[in-house]
Amino acid sequence: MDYSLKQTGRAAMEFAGDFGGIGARVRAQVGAEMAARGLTEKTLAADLDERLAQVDRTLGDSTAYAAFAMLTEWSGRNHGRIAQSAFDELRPDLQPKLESLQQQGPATIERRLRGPLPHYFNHWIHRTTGGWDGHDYQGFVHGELIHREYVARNYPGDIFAQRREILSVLPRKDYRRIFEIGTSSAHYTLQLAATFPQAEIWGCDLSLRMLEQAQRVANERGLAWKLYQLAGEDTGFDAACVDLVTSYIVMHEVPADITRAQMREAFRILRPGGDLLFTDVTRYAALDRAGEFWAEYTAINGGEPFWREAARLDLKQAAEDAGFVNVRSEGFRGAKYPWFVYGHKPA
Amino acid sequence: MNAKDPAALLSRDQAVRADPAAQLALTLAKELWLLRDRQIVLEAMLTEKGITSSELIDAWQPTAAVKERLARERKRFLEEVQSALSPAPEPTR
Repeated sequence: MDYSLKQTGRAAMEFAGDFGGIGARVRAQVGAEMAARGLTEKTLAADLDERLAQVDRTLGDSTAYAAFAMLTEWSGRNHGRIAQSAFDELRPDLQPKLESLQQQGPATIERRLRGPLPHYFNHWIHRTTGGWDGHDYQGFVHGELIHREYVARNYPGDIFAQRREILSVLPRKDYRRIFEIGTSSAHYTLQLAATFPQAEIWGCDLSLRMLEQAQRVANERGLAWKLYQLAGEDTGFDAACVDLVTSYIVMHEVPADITRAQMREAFRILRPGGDLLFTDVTRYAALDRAGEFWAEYTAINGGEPFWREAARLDLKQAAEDAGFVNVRSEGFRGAKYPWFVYGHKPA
Repeated sequence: MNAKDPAALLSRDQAVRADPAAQLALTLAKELWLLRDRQIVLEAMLTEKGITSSELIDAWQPTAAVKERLARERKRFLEEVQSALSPAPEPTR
């Protein structure tokens, strides 16, 4: 999707993007101060709540700790706003192209929500201004401006390659129909389509604004995706109609009970012999106490209300409870991130 | 913020986050960068046109009229900063 930001929007996005680099340096200073003040694996409290209070109390007079809070608070509040402003500066040129992309092409959107939007959808995840539907072109704002210009610059590794490489976990190449939960602006969907070019792609999301962006992405490439506004835990699809159910970095955006429900629904709609692959953030059980503190601190301040319960969910048990066999729950290629759970529905 | 909210366990951290002066400082830093970026762009464009604006600006001394305008704009800018840091005025009773 070709576009060029105008000067103000470009400079603001670059400023916000480079902010992450400052935050990483200050965070390292905070980590050094924690160690210098005796907060180590042995002395950090075992209970996570106690640990949060312990660090806050111990570093209460630390300049680095205050600076880190100040910097990350500003990023949290402003990154979405800055991206929306950058879009609005481009709107006269871009909107006709986006409308055309949405209207012309083989991808479809069908609204099949059964009941009201679930309660967990109301949170401003990632502190995105207005939430997933908070701007009439939030899909473009999130998918292009925030993800490509901001997130990709501040997260380790190639976030797009990670979405492709995780698919090597899957044992088959012959999936006829793939259903993705949480399609959002389609970064993972594109990798599914590239890796399994013969498969029919279905995707769902609760946000229409995100699905509209996914539709543009598909239409631009001539891909006939079927996109549905529905909840992944309650699809309304016929039983045994797909061969792979998958999601990427979605589980921590929903309550743990919803993830369990999504696994049960996946088992129901999978054909015998089908597979499940959900990928998400590192399990708290795989982190040391300092690592768990930082994950929790980031979640609390980064608009992640479900992160703790998601990161503590026993994915292997949840998948087995849903009926899957040959379940694997582990970090990809021995790393702690990303973390995946794979399961197989017996033939 | 209730007792079950994990954020309540980070009371010192949250106090910094709630400080409007800290947020204003960073917003001003962002605004400053936008102007510096624009100035660099402008100077580069003028250089392409054969006008060495950077050297001309460095050497140029403001006239009385320009000095007056700069002072006026500076005063307005500082009043906006002060206003942003001031408590909201009491409502008329």
